[in-house]
Amino acid sequence: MTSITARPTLPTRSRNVRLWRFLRQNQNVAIIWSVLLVIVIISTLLSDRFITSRNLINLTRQSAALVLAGIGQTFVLIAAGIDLSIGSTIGLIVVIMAAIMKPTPELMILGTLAGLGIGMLVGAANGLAVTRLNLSPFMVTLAMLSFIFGLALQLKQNPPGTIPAEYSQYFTGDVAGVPIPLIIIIVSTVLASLFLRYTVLGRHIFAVGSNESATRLSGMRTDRIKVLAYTAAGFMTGLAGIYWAARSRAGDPLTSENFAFDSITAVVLGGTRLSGGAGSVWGTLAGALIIGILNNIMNLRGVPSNYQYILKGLLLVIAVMLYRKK
Amino acid sequence: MTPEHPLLEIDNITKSFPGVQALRGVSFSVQRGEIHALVGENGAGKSTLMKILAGVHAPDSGRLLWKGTPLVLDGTADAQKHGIRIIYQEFNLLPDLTVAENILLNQEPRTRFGTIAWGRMMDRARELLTRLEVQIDPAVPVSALTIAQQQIVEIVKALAGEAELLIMDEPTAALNPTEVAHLFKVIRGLAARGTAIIFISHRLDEVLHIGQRVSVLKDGQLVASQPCDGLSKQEIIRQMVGRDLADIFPTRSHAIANVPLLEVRGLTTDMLHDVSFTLYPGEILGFAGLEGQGQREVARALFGLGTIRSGDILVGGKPVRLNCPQVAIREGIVFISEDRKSEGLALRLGVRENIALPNLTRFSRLGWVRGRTETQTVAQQVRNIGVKTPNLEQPVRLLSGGNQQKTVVAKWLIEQPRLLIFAEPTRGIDIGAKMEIYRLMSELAAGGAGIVMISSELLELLGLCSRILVMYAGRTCAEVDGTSATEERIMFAATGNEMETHP
Repeated sequence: MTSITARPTLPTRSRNVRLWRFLRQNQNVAIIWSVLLVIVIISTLLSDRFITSRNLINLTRQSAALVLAGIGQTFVLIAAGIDLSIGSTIGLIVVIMAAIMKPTPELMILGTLAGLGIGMLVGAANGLAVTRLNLSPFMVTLAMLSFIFGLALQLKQNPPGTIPAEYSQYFTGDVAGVPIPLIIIIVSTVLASLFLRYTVLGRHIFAVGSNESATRLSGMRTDRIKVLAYTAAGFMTGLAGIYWAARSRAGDPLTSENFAFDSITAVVLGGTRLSGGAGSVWGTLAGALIIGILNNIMNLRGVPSNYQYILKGLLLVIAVMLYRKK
Repeated sequence: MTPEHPLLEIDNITKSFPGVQALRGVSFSVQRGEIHALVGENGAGKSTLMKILAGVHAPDSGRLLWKGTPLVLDGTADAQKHGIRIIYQEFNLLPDLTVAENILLNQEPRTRFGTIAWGRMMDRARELLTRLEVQIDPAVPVSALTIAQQQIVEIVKALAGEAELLIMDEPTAALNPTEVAHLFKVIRGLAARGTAIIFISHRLDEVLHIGQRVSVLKDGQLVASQPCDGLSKQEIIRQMVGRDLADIFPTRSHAIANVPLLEVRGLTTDMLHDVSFTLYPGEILGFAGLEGQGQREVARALFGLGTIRSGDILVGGKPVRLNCPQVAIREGIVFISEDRKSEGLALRLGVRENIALPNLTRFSRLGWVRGRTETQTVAQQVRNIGVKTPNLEQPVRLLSGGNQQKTVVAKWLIEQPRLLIFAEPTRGIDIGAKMEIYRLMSELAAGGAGIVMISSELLELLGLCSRILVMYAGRTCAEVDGTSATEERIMFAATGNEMETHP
């Protein structure tokens, strides 16, 4: 070939050019972090209690479960799927964990593993139903939502079981002055972004979401990739469930019903494409924090929670409009 | 309305889109009752011009004159009101409605209560259909018709809308010769009654057969607008590509080995019947035929995408069961699909990710992709194949058709396949990129790979292949020598004339 005009990324490029290109390639993430920044500034002006260490620690505690669930939702949405069963699954997890740990607090590890196991099992079941039965992800996970919710209610103890206080400390306390929820948020986002970017499976998830036929014709087992994507999401749901059990300390499935909606809102706010193939957990993190801050500031200002739902509905529409294809 | 004015004059039309100058000062005119062919390479500006005539796009400069008076079109409905109708390759029919409903959509006869007068609607539709001497029952749903019949329904629909100018985009692409002949009869009938036809086609034989004048576009410019009489196909091609045919294809000089690389014996699937052939290393074997005669299925079966009912496939002398792409890839077989946008590329992902996709395990250790190895290999590949992209992260949907195709080829060449299946490798790409793809294929063959090439462009089969198999109705009906055969020879076989003479 004589006409070589390809110019692969060169290390000699000036820093400005590379920064500009980085921002363009991560446009959606840049947008949503800017929005987050604006919301933080407005919140600071709205309430002098907003930027206090006490409130910020509280904010991380309130947001950590949504960040974890949102990361899982990001995986399936990038793979051109969706998971509506997240809330029910978290509900089932807290019920089971309470059932194990209330009578025998020393079975903490077993309870934790059970939580993780349930999450992955439900995720794998979603993935298998989508691929083997060839059903739409929306319908499969909608059915799963109801199925798991019923199961959780059936297994719920009366009165609801509780999680031991010392277990709670592992997840909501602090290490050397750093709040553990903050560590959870940062570490999980970093690991998830590395997973999506640098593992073969992560890359396959993007490929399947972008074009399933082309991925299959490139020699990939697309069904397997999708099952693994749902299972990875289930793993994150498991973590979210464990955290939720530790924070709410109640084995009550009614406390986690909003997770499916909130996680989808967070992911879409974060610029992940509903039709798959593009997205970022860093965007999801910002999206989850925006939801957390809006709830937080409305609480600080004494706005009734009804309005929070109305606002979240509007937020979802605005997010979809924001990223709509030109 | 003075009779000396042409029906339509296209006067110095210019149109650009971001990054593309689609039309540059195009002028020609169309008379009443004229069958005017419009030809050009992909990307030459035919569809842009067509969309301007249909009122979809407004020209940047220049004007349209309709019966001598300037015409400014405000959308498709406005164009239709003036009597300009367009029949796209993708039909605009409602498959679940009846033929009559489709024909008279939006102009259904009403009873005095405002409901639809079904009886009169059927009568009117039947009358329009018989005017064109076609036998189609107006009461059946459109989905029950053949493609050729649907085409006719589109024409009748245009006729019902009192079309004075009918623009047809590749109307014969999916038709068999009998259907083409019938369509041409219908078109001639329309023209005889004064309707002007703009006939867009790639098939130059048809253009010369039915057209009275032909206008040739190249890179958005009008090269010529001339009578078809006395014009040769070679001359039209030269106008279209701006070069002589001999300069387009690389020379066939390399040796072909004599130990078979691929042997297919009695391959039978839902579409194929007893297909047998042998491919030798260094050879480019072509498959020709009308659309839908089984060429596509041969390609797909070789890549593990078909359900093989019976027959054997031997690769390098060893029988293989090709039941999924993974097996094919393991045997060193790769497939460049005719539909690169839906089967070849993940359009939203970048050049790097697309080229890396089938090679990720090669770049990774324990499930982790080694970014440096990946980037280096991909960059190397991009240079070798000559993919023109501003950087490796550029989403492939932003590349030109030719560079997209080169990206697809690039992703398969990292593992050095021994058998490459190219289906319509130059569909929708410009002449420069075409020549590069041809040269690449020739180089791969010279390097000892075997190539199966499916194409509907006979010229490229004749220009590249050492042998060409002609398919008809799921069977191979003739084998011709690529260096000595002619288009006429292939078309004769492709239309089913040699079914019994082939061994």
